[in-house]
Amino acid sequence: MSDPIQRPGVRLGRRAFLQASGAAGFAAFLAACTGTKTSPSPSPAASAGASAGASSAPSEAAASPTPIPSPTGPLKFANWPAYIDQATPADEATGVLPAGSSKTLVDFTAKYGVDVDYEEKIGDNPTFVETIKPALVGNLPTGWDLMVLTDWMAAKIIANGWAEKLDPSVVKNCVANLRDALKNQVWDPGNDYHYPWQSGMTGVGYNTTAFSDNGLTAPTKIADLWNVPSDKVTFLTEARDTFGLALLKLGIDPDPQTVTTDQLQQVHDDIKPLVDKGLRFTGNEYLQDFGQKRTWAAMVWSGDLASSGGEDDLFVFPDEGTMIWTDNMLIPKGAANKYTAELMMDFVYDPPVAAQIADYVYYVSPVKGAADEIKKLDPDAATNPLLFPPDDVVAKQKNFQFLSQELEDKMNELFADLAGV
Amino acid sequence: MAAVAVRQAPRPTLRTRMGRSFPYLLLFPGLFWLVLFYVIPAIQMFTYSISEGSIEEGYTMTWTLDAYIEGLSKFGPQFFNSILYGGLATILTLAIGFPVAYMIAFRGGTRKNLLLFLVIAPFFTSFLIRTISWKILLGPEGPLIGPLKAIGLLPGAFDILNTPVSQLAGLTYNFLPFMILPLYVALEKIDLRLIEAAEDLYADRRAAFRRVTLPLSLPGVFAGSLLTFIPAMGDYINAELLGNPQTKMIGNVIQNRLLVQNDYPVGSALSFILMAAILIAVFIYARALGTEQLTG
Amino acid sequence: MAEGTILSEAIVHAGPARAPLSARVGKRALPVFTALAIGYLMIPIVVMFVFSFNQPEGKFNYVWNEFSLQGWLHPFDWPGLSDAVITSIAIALLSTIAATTLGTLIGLALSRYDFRGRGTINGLIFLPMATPEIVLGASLLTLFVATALPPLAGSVPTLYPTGFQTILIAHIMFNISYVVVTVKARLAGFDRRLEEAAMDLGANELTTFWRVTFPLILPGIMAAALLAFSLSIDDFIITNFVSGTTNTFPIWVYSIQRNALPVQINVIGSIIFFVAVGAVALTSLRSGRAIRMR
Repeated sequence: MSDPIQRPGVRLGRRAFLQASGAAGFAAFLAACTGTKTSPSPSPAASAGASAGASSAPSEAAASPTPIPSPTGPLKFANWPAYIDQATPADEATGVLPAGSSKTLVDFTAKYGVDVDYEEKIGDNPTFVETIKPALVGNLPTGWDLMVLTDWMAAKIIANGWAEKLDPSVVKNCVANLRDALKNQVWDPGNDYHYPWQSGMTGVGYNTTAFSDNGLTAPTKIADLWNVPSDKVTFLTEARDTFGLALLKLGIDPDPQTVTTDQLQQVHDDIKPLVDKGLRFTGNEYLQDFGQKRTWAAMVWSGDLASSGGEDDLFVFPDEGTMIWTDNMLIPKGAANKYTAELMMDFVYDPPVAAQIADYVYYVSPVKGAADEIKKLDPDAATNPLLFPPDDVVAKQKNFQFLSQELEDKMNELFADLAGV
Repeated sequence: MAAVAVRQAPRPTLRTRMGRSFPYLLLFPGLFWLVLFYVIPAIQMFTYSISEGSIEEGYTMTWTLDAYIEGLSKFGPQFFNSILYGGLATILTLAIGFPVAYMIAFRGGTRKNLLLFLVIAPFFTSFLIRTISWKILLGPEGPLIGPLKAIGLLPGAFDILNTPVSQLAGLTYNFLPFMILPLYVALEKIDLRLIEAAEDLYADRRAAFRRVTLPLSLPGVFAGSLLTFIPAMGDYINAELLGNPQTKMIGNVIQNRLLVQNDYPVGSALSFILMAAILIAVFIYARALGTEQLTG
Repeated sequence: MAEGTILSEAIVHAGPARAPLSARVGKRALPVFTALAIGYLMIPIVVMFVFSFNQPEGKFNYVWNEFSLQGWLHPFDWPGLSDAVITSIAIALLSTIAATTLGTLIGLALSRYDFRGRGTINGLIFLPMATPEIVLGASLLTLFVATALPPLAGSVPTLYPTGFQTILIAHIMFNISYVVVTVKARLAGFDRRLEEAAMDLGANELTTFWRVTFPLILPGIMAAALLAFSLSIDDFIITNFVSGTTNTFPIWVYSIQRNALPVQINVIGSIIFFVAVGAVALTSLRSGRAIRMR
């Protein structure tokens, strides 16, 4: 089985890149021809040097009357780390999957015969986008075919015309299986440019032992964070999450369409006294802080504490509501392998595949039917409220991601003042 | 002092034949690289600092000084923190590093190279892992502070992380090799017969050190201070991981302005203000120590 | 330098038969202090090594859970990790060689010759160290992209798409300054009479340089190379901007810690450390034996 992870070679320019990908595609074709164990239908040949116009062997089981172009590769897929299912030691021992690989990617390669160069290079939105902005502004290919960005950044990319328009006939699974709650985003109502990868929630986390040792009652509301000694509390460096929850605490609906800059100022003035008394802002370093009992309660993201916190670290859906955010798949403008990227998007919206990913990642899947599929893999996951939040929680979920420029500038300015920069 | 260049009648060497152009020849490859890949990009950044606009819409160079005015007026505390923590880290690394460099240079013997390598080898591993390891070690109930609390030497609520002390400790630790290596380089060159001669002239150990070794080590002190203070001033990561909102440095502000707020004019202006401040400080420092010997 | 060693040992042993207590304590104080200092430098490495044997409770290796060899048995378990490590090491080696060469030449020129523009160039050398890394990275990326856009496109070799070669360019750039400052510390007060003497004895310029100057400044060059290597192998911010789709170990570490902190980071870090120290220890032992055998 061909290793789905391509070795990054020395970049020699676009021509050499295409030659290399053609050669790689030919190699994948040979590998596919020499017999792979999983795919029942013949894998299509990746183009052996010739791309445009080449007619190919019939592709997936769903036969189309018109000849489909062969997917080119390798697919350059940039994602957040630990965001795709990963081979377990058991899989490696039985030889099902090579070490360090992902079943989803291996299956994709087997199905389409294209290698996937999967790079976990996205650590946070602005840092990643800054590395591709000059190319996008200058109308050059970024080198990536598929990337995953959070709502607000995805909105900016689309608004600037830096995303490729999707072909609905290729991403059929996405069109059919996207959960209704995630449809009709203000910044891309028709899903012309994006499809969600995973969603997550921001709420309150706390350590039961620390609370009981210090005579505090368990928190049920965001406001309870104000009653814990501030040097034992952390908020998030992600301004949208912090401000969103703080708006909820003040009884303001964090709807980007209705929030005013004055209300943001209110939030700032509400948090400032806590900062003076020792409040800090962290990314998911809060996990280490919780582990060391330095933090008793914090604003946290749903996936972390559940999968990696201590036994006495609990995630709470606050009474006032939770923030929901989504990381979305986008194809940057000028992507060399746009068709392959669309095939990948379609592939991960197949409910069994989506369940496989969600079971490992432990965030909220955007795919309808993933809940049923996941019962077969992991019955506990199917009833886990962090993966499949109950209806009363969903009713109070707020999205404070896509802000107007004025609101965003004000929020960043106020947050910088709180964080001391 | 050691360096007394004796001028003899010039021989017809390659150097004299090439005459005045020889130093330029030596300089050319490295300078070419720096001009191409530092100076030109820096000029581009400078134009941002006197422009208005945004990266999406495009910048127009209006020669406005707004960015500099904002940079100089709003960030006093962060500039102060940079000078404070950068300066203290330099002093601490010097205090710790000088004896170590001296020991390796004078008493290292055959193991000099190994000892020197041991000084720098920890820094081949990831900065993040080193910092996380320190945080594990210095946690309020960790292997170091926990026992001290158990025997009552420290109050129960003592937590050294995310304090000015931890930030300073992080800076000091991470810049220590940058002080030790240049110090070693200068100390190792000292001819021991000079010290022996001083002792023959009735100087005791301490006076020999003070009057011979120390002045000869100054080029190393100068170099080590530069390699520590200059990058420390612009550092942001130690403040981010080991500090708190009150200890942020100017590097954090620049990071925020450029990445989060996409405010290239102010971000660039702050960078150039920082660079100017550093150059002035280096100039004063070089004067104080006596440039003639130090810059060759 | 063997001569210096013999002399230093002679000085150490040349004192009176029974040194006063303060001198004896003083003699011990320095090695003890140095041992403590080197121990201090090693502490995070020890913690990192210990935690490489941890089986963390969840995805983050922050708290000790239970002993396990899993990390060591599957060191490259994460996709792209092995490529990232290889890339990092390759770039560190290449950029160190290039930067050390270029920087030494500049150091020689600045230390020994008086020429027009010397002061300016002296100042210029400090600037890359003084510039925040994010500024260096962002501005370099803009430059690289500009080589593929009009008006530069076609007239200059294109440095876009970014990748291995652009990372290398950036690393060489920021390393030069550190090399220059370190080598100059060695060159300050260099006794030119040694060179003059060699030339009086008939050596030409090149021979003089290789047989007299170079060995004397070699410790400075080696120290500069060590600094450059450590700067290169752990650089994140600049590399992140100019790496395109290539991944390096520091980028991998900084990216992954948002969602996980695998044991493999500790394992790789330990491997790098022990291999490096082991290699130097071996060569140090061999050269030590050679000196004794002479």
